[in-house]
Amino acid sequence: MKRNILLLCVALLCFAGEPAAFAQDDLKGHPSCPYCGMDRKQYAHSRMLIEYAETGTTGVCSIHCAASEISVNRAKTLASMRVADYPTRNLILAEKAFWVIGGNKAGVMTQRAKWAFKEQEEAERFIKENGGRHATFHDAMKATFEDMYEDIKMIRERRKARQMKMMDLKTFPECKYCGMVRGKYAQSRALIEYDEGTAVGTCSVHCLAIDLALNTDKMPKAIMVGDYSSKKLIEAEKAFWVLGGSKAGVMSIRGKWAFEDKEGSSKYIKENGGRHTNFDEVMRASFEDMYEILR
Amino acid sequence: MKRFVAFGFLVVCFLFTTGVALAQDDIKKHSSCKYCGMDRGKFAHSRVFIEYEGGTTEGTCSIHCAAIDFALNIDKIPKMTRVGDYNAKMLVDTEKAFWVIGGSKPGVMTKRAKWAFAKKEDAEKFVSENGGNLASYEQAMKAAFEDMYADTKMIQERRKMRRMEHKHH
Repeated sequence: MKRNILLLCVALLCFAGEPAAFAQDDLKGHPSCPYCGMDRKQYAHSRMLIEYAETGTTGVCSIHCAASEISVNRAKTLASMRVADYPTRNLILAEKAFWVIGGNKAGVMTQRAKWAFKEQEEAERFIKENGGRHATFHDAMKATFEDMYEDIKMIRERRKARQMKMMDLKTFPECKYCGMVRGKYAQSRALIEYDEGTAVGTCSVHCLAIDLALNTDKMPKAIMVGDYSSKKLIEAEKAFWVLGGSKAGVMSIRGKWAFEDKEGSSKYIKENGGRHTNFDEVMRASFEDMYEILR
Repeated sequence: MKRFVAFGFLVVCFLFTTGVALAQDDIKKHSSCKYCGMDRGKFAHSRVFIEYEGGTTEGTCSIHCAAIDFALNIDKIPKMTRVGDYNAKMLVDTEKAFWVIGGSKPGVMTKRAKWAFAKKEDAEKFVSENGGNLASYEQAMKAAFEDMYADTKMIQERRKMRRMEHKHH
């Protein structure tokens, strides 16, 4: 009897484990979206898996990229379209899912979000908490195409803005003082613009401090630093700074890292230690640490 | 005097043929549509030619396939997009063209046609003869995306039916 119960338990465990394993299998086969290049694991809650009768499967990050996929491959026969259940991330049939369009949660590749739920109650709970409206898969797909032109324009604008924030790496590929490749140290680099029109690119606040020390006759107009996470240039004065922590600094033992938002700096501290500070203290610390390096 | 007239005529002929040659250059470069494989020379009246920043170009049969190209290349910034004038078939700037959405003439790769005209009078004449509505490029492109779902579904349904028929025979 005991053996039978044990066998039954093992069998149940196998069956229970199988859908979960299957639900995540697509991430191994399709780790990134072929259209936007985004990591599908990061967007596991919005990802889709498209299966064709003629060929295999395609994994995308969202219904936005699924729409691009089916437009390009309209000559192929769709066997199935699966989407992630928003709360569990398990794949479910897109046609049978309860969809929510809109709401205050930021959408994936779109300004107007589209989420799928296996259970109607979950969709209702989401709407209660975050807004949005109930929809069918057909409604969600129709809305995706309707939004696509505006979304493409938005994505292009965002990417253009991001590129602009990385342009300094082309203008100043190397640090003026230590010669290090600034692209390699994009997360710590600095850019200083002086009133009289000149600008200098450095690898870190350490070399920035040297530049300031050498050019006391010049008036800085703007000082920018690389955001530790996104690497785009942000205003040094407005950045959320972290001093210290377990990660070694650039040209300095004590790390000095800048973040665009407090969420980023707090997360860093939680994972690596260090403490919150401002740009003024970071500059002071840079001069203090300089002596230590020379020593 | 006669010599001047002949010379003038030659100049006009030269300019005309060069213009036509230039206008057709994109068809030589992209003879068929990347997405549907259709002959761009045959669909010169609806074809689109895209020049991206960085120098790459793409030629499609219609605004429908141009929309697909945009959807697939969101990281590229279009520098210039041109479309075939419905009557003369020469390329015109999509932003400056006068567009007509709909009408009785069947569209290219879509149920709801989208045509471009270099001159407003031509667009208006088309509307009076064939129906449809005057539109901007922005509206035509938006409509191309909106119609894409229905057009895609229509083609897939057709193929499905054809497969079913083959199975029964």
